[in-house]
Amino acid sequence: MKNFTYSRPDAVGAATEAAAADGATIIAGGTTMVDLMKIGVLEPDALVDISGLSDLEGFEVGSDRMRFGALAKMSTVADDQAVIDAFPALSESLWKAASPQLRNVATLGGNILQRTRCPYFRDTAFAQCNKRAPGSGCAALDGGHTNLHAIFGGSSSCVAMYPGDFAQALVAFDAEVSTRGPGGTRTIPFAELHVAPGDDPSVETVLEPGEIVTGITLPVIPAMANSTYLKARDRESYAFASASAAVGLEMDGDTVRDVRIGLGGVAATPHRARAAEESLRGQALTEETAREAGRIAFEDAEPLDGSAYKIALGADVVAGALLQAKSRMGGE
Amino acid sequence: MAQTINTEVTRTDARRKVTGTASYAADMIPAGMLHGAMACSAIAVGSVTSIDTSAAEAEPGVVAVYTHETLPDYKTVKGFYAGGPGSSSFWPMEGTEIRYAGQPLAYVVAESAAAARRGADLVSVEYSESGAAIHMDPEESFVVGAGEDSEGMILTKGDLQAGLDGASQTVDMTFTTPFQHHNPMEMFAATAEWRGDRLTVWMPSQSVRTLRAGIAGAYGLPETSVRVISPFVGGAFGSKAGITPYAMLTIAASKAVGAPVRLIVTRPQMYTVATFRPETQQRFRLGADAEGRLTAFEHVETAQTPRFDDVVNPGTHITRAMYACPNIRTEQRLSRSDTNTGGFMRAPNEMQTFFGLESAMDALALKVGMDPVEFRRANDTMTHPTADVPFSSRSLMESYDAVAQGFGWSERGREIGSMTDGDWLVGYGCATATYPTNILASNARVRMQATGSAYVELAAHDVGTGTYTIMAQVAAARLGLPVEAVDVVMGEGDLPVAPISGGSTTAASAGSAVHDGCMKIARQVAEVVSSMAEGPLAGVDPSRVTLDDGTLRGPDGQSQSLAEALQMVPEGEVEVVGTFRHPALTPELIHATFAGGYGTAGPVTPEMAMFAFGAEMAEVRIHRYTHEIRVPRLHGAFAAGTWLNRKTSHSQLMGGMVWGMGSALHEVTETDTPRARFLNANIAEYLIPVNADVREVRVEMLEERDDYVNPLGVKGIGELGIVGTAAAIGNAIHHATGKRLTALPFRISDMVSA
Ligand SMILES: Cc1cc2nc3c(=O)[nH]c(=O)nc-3n(C[C@H](O)[C@H](O)[C@H](O)COP(=O)(O)OP(=O)(O)OC[C@H]3O[C@@H](n4cnc5c(N)ncnc54)[C@H](O)[C@@H]3O)c2cc1C
Ligand code: SF4
Repeated sequence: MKNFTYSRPDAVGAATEAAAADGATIIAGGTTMVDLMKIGVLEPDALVDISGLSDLEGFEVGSDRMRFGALAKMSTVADDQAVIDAFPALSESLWKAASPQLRNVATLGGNILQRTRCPYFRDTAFAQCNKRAPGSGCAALDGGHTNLHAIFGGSSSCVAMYPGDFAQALVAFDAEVSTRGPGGTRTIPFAELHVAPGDDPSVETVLEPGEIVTGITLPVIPAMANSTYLKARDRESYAFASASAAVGLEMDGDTVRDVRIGLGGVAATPHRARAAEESLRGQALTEETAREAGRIAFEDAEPLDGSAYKIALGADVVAGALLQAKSRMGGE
Repeated sequence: MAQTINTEVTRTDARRKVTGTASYAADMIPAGMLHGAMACSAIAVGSVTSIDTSAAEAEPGVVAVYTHETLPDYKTVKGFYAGGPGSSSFWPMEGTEIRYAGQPLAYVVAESAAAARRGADLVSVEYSESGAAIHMDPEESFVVGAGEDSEGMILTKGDLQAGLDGASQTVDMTFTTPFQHHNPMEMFAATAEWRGDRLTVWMPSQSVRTLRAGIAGAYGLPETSVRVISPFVGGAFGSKAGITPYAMLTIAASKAVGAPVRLIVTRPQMYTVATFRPETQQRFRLGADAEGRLTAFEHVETAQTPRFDDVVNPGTHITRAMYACPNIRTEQRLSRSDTNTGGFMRAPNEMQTFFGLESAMDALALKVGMDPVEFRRANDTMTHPTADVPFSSRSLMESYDAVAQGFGWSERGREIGSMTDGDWLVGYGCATATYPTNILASNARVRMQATGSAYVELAAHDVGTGTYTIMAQVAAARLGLPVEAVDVVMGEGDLPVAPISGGSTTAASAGSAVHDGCMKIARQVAEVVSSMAEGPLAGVDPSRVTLDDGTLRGPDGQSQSLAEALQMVPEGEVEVVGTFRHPALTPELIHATFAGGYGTAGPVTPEMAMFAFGAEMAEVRIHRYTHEIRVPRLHGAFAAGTWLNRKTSHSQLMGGMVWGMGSALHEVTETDTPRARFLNANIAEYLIPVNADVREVRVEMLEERDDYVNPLGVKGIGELGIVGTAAAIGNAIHHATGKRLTALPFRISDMVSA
């Protein structure tokens, strides 16, 4: 690991300023950062530890909005009864991520900005990785192992998958992030925070140097109360999603009034399945329509050899999540 | 005196381990110690054209950087599969040659571990790269020994083709198993300290005497000049058996800098600097008659081996011992690719071969229309099918009957896919477990004092299995002492010869040497007290005095406790060396072990075949929507002779079954094919079962008596539990879904696409 300087400002303004310097990087819980520094993938000159900004730890669930500070811990939010009651998919997306030890230190802000698990990104012995070393090529696309890669949103430069769970609950439910950068504060729709790899996959978000995510806000909508997060993974806990779906339903009698579908484990950025949602609005929700929605959700997928299985799997996960959300409503 | 054998005894070191006071090799910090780190190859095959160490040398704290050009007095040893103590025949840093990805290329010594690692990062290497293949190509395989069958690599009995032709049902199935890495919790580590030409090495080891003999031989030192110390081992599973480059590099670097050096290998480097379980292919052709009796049995195993070593872990030698069949053919093949040398990993001959065999048996049972358990019963035998000698004991069907009862096998739906629970498809599967009883010569020094204490000393190892405890138990039982009164010293090369902690031999072979030591103490004490004028045994013929767990008994009912008799011995204590030399151990085998090697006899001797047996049953659930495979219940019943300690035995068997579940569902070292490199060299991405995966694991331990294997009647159990688990789970998946998965591990992606 390369030597670095370390500071722990206690005001957001100072943190922003320090983090905007060349070679500086923000660290929160450190569960992504420290890992990547240890293996030489990230080599910041300066770490700006924002964990002292205690104002950013709080969160509240109101009747029309929920607001989460960027430094709220994954475990605290996942366990909060008001969150569980108002938006079960959000709690579950956190619960089903990582391990208890990680959730106890990892923050929501860090979580949404976690980096890909592409094995080529994470091993500097591979010369090719456009995300790690812009312009070097892509080992995954050059005959590599692609089981963990994106089937949506990849480019000819990079097919890395965005691995997080929580983000899927955010993207499908119109979340926004608030930030404070050297230029002031702004609000960014969550769906626009991450950018597709395009020609330069080393750029992953629209955040400017030094811009700190201060919070996440969601409007409370009826589909949240009947929501679920279904995650398919190779072991019962502590594994990234092979495919997952954050789903919420609002029913009008037997017909679907509103439905939200976020897809994990399949896309380059947090991914909302809008066409699948559209196919269900105004329809009855049955095994058949749920499966059809799953099929539609993956219609435009562009798999590689290793990731082709995600199409059938993802469709089934969407169907299963929809039916699970419905059965919860029925009080079954 | 409470019973000490075949009972539950808590580990004597349990408290020290859970409080962190048990000291492991890397906990030892000699004065003035420096830290080592390795820089490893980014390419798989080719050569080093230049190495620039200037940036590393300029890093604050770095003391020295060594390369193939600059490391003085670096010694190597011959590889295990070439008859030596090394983990591999190819030694990196002897020249510019690179033969596998992750091979050490430079060694940095620094004042702190952080500086050493940073120094290693800064070593800059220029390569000339050649093409490389990480996977074997089974089409390009060969029989070890060029088909001459000198090592029993091909075996034929009867007429296979006639057996297949005459069968009413046949199967022809090919299975594959992946590269796997041991991932012991304790990292690989070595600390070397030279004082003149005396060397001390602290290193977690499964074979301290091999290490000592190998290092001494390499440096041309008498063995008495080399101390090897490995007090506790935090898991080994085969990975800490041979002498590795990281150890010899540390020894040379310590000599070169003139200070003690400790190297702790990083987790990613642990995937390339030592051994692993090679990938394999298993082909089975089986035939059975209408009654379900096997008429033909063919097993061809092809295993991966590096370019420079022939890694032979002959699984066919075990599979052919399982079922009665008049026509048998087995063949052991190897296929080369560009890796370091693989080796032993828990049940190195059995895990992968029994996945194939027991899956094929399940498929054949289905074809014949028999219950899988009854199919095994129809083919059970008390005679080794190819060696034609009786089993010294074999409780296979007793195991099946015991496990079936507790598991509720009779409730298994007859039809494929007939059992469901909500969104889960449910299936039951079973498989046979076995492990050969391997035998090695062993000594043990035993000293008993009239004050009621005893000391046991031997060069055995506690790799986390409970060896300290069971050695104390054996002595305590024989000498009539409480377990706490026996002090066991192990894990040093200078102690009396004991076996490698491998092949599940320690409890059986080293335990038998301890047993013999106790008997010798009794004999010596009997001689003294029988020659005395007074006392319960005065005047008794000492050769007719027997030891009955702490009591000396004369031929006519006279008796005296050993502790009491010992008080009449002038020294107040007796010290002996117990030995274990099974009749099957030839002088050559004994010599090999005493020379620091492995002189293994068994499992088949000219008189008997020695194996432990068991049966495992799994309930598997597969989710309709997520296609996740879960194992809510895993039951096993085993018979392995005497259970020395029911608690540690239970843990060994349960741990084996959990690992078997990992082999079935999780474990695989992923590969990058174009660049011939392992991909998931860390325990975030190399999955093993977590607690949430391990639901009900039940272990039943059957009573079995075997007077042939050794005086204690003990068979090895360290590896038995893992054998068959993957097949039991695969068979249950088939029962639930009709899908026959033939490649480990079974994952969501297989369930969706199969
Ligand atoms: C073994 C393992 C398994 C895991 N499994 C899962 C899983 O199954 N599902 C899942 O979703 N996640 C998983 N994770 C990822 C984990 O959830 C993230 O590492 C964690 O949430 C990151 O939070 P942190 O506070 O530790 O972030 P840090 O590591 O501190 O930071 C992460 C990134 O965000 C930046 N950053 C952090 N906070 C801010 C801020 N407020 N403003 C601007 N930039 C910021 C940092 O600069 C850095 O680039 C796993 C991680 C590990 C190590
Ligand atoms: S997919 Fe992206 S992250 Fe992975 S190797 Fe290619 S460029 Fe790098």
